[in-house]
Amino acid sequence: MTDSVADIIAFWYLSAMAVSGGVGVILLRNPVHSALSLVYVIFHVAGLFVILGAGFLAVVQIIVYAGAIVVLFLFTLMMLDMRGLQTERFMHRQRWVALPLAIALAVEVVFVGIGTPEIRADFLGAFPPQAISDLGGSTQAIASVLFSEYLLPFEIASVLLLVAAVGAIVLARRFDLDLEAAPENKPADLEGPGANKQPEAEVTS
Amino acid sequence: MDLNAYLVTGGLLFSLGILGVLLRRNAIVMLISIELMLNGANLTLAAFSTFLEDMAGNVMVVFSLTVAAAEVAVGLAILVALSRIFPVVNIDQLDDLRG
Repeated sequence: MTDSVADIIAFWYLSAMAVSGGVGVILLRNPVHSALSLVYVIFHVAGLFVILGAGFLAVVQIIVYAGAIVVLFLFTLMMLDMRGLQTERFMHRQRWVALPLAIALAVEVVFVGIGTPEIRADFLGAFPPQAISDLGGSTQAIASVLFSEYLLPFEIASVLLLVAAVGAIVLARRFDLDLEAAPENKPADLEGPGANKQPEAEVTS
Repeated sequence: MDLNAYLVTGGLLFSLGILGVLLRRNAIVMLISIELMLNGANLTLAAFSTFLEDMAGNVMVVFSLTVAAAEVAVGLAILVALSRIFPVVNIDQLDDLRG
């Protein structure tokens, strides 16, 4: 990879800001500020994706993470009661165990990262930068692999999203309703619209 | 930039995520820290994908984003269910299994 001075400056700026945003996530007391600090990290990691030449991932990162996941966090924070956070202890009491462990892990990971050798030329795959630009960009290159070699995992991912959506609805619904008085709220009707047609004795058993 | 710089950045993000999970009491901030760890892993995958000149790493990042979205949806649904019992979801209140 040929790097210009602009690439090097951009890398150091983006990675320094991403790591400092990560420090903000764990040190800011208010969970809303933590979520907004996560947005900061996400945008800078998207910038790192851009200088890696993965423009599609940068856009998807911003749309899915900043647009969907963090918004979901903020909506949940809005629903939950966050009073008393300003006075309460926000660190766990195991912090003097957690801090050395995390520092040890960070040192380990940094040494592994520094010690990773150069990639040998015979390990290189089929997508050098020239081939990607011949295909028309990283979006086309990802699509050509995703919809041929990884088609089955792609379909399984769609099933996973469906299961997660159904699971989230089931988990977040109110269970304190009187189930005996209101048979339409029984868990049996989650199986489909026809479940209510079952005889009453079978539902209550 | 060479591969090592990206690996160090991704590793630092991952370690910060671990630290957040271990350090914070609020369950939502723990989920946010898990997202931080996923970001570090995604950065490592994308860096390897570019430097190995192989698209498999980029595809893995797409799948990782899918799993992250599913995980957040289910995790936040569990927290909403928990918040009916505890108004402020602090994880050291959830000690029912302690002997």
